[in-house]
Amino acid sequence: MEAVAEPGNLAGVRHIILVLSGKGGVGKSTISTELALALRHAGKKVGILDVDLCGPSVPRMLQAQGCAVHQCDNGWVPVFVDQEQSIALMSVGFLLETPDEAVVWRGPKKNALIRQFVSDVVWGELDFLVVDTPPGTSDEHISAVEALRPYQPLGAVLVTTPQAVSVGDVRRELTFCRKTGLPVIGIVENMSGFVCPHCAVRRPAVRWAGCRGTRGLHSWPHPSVQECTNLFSVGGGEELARHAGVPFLGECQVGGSGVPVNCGSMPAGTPRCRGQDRHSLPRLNRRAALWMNTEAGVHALGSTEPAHGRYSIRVEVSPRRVPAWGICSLKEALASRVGVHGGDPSLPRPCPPFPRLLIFTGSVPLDPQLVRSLEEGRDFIQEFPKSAAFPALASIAQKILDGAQVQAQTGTD
Amino acid sequence: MEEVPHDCPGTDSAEAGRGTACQGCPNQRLCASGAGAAPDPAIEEIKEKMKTVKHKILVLSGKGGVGKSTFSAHLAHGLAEDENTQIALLDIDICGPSIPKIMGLEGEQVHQSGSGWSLVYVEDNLGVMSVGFLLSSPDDAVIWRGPKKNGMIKQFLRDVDWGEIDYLIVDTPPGTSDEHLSVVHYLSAAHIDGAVVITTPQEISLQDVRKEINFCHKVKLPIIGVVENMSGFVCPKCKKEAQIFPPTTGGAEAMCQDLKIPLLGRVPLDPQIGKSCDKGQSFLTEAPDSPATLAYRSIIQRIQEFCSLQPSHEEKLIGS
Repeated sequence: MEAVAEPGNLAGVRHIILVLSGKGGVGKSTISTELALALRHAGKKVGILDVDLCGPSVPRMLQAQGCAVHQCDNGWVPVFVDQEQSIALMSVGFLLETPDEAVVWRGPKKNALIRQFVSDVVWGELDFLVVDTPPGTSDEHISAVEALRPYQPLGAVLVTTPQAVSVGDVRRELTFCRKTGLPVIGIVENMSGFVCPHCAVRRPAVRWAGCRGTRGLHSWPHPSVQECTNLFSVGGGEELARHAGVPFLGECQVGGSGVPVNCGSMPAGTPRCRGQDRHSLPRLNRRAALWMNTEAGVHALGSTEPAHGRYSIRVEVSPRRVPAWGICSLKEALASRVGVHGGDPSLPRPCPPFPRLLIFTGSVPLDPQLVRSLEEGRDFIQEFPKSAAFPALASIAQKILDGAQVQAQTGTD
Repeated sequence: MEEVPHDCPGTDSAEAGRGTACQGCPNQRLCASGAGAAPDPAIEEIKEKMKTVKHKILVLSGKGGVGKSTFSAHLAHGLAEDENTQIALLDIDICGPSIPKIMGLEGEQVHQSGSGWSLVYVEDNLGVMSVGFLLSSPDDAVIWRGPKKNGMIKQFLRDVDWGEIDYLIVDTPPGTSDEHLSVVHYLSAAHIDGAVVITTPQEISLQDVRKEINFCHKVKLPIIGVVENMSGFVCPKCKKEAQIFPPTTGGAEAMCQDLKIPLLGRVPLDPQIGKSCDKGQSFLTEAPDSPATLAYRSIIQRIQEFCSLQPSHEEKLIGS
């Protein structure tokens, strides 16, 4: 069936993103909400469509529980969660009489409501519509993809946690995307590690994430002190990325007053360059992760052979160098480092831009403050800029914005 | 059957066969004649099959990712430690079957015999059934709509050669949808002992769990109790406790007091649990001294006590 944009209530929506995961509880709704907030902070008008009919979490996250849905001539008016009407929201949560009311429906009835959400909600002019889904690959997903197909969604963001059990389910979700022809924007590894707040503050000499924007060297605690407890196992996102042929940007951990990190890794056996770079860095201690500023110590050390236009890059970071808050994008890292510091002549040219390159979009750390603020429905990004999860989300939003721009320029793939 | 019209009112609704959505449906005549409202013969068949199963426990949660499969697997391991009890674990999460991985049975296949499908055994007294065993590759996605999933669950309950089982544990997917309705529907004549509801301390989980509890009340499913998972984290280095999923509204305890449901216990978050699940090992044997193991064992004991107090279903049948 040839996808043609149809007139209708979604005609004013420029880009549609689905947030999927085969596994439950990995943070789809959290990531959807935060992604929407991040896109809004980038000046975009955003809508969130929550098609999780059995467990609609998004209204609570945006403190919109109990709001009513009004009708207008063209259909249902979405709930606006702010004065400027920059975030529109639709969820079955608004249609329930009490918050504890269970939606005990079989598939056909769920399908009907999802189609109504897509066709009958007056979204108006939106830059992005983020669709939050329940776990699995069933009625809701099939119906959502079918109903949204005429509007050519930008793609899907797949969320996983590092555990193999999550990865197992997300692999199935990748198959679902392939079978339904839904492009995959990237994979986000959520809940990547946690630093015990008690242990981590033991060394007062360490200056942490409060030093936003500064670029100086700070003393870094010895890795054995800055223990990262891998709560939900380790290695899942990397394995998934390797399996899917996706460059993996690494895991990221934080906790308490920790500093999150985005580091890269790639399959074993990859050649490493031995550049004479003054920034050349010892092996990263995986358990002591840092957020990287693109100017502060990202070093492309080597790569696999390009295959199908895709590259895997190894990037290592010195634990001795604590960069300031920053966003590391694989593209930026390569653009600034490849050919300059990499001594290995076999390093590839900078990666072609998304959407041709399937990029591992990033890792988001587990931050109890984030959880608490979401529970209380506050505007997380405004209130907790020091949270370790913020750069991850801003980075992911940026990648999506870049990709959307590229797609708009080059036409659909 | 996948050719269900999109607005199908349901075979047992008053509109069955008569609604506008029914036009063109191959079953329209059947529904209109009231055949859809007739009792499903499978229920009787399943009741017969379930006669050899003493206790049936459902593990539910409205919310995903709270640890239902982890808990189901460890409940099974814990109960199976008594070699004289025969345990079966049924995974009806059709889209995301995690049980084969958690039990270390990835790649196993189901064998069919004259008496039905045979369980895949982890130990002599612990057998497992999951849709995961029917998939040929870990990447195979089960992209089915509700009716087909229901058919699979019916097949599991009716066609598996259960044998003499002391405890049948049923691991469910998150939500309150087809799978849950089906399992309760098909086991309606076979007496389910009760449901264990899993949650984390967060309000976002409790919100969904309250819906699940409402679902249980709606379908008259007894609730054995609530388990609060990921309740606090003890750092292995400094042994101090941190709250990863803060109970902003009082956690499961407050909810249980409100709804007058027993809180079976709290299981702290131990990183070893995730690793054991990934490896397919029993956490109870890998880390016997962990506070989480102690919590699991105490909860398992309470579940056993609850089940032993229930009249067995033969007694119920005699009494009814």
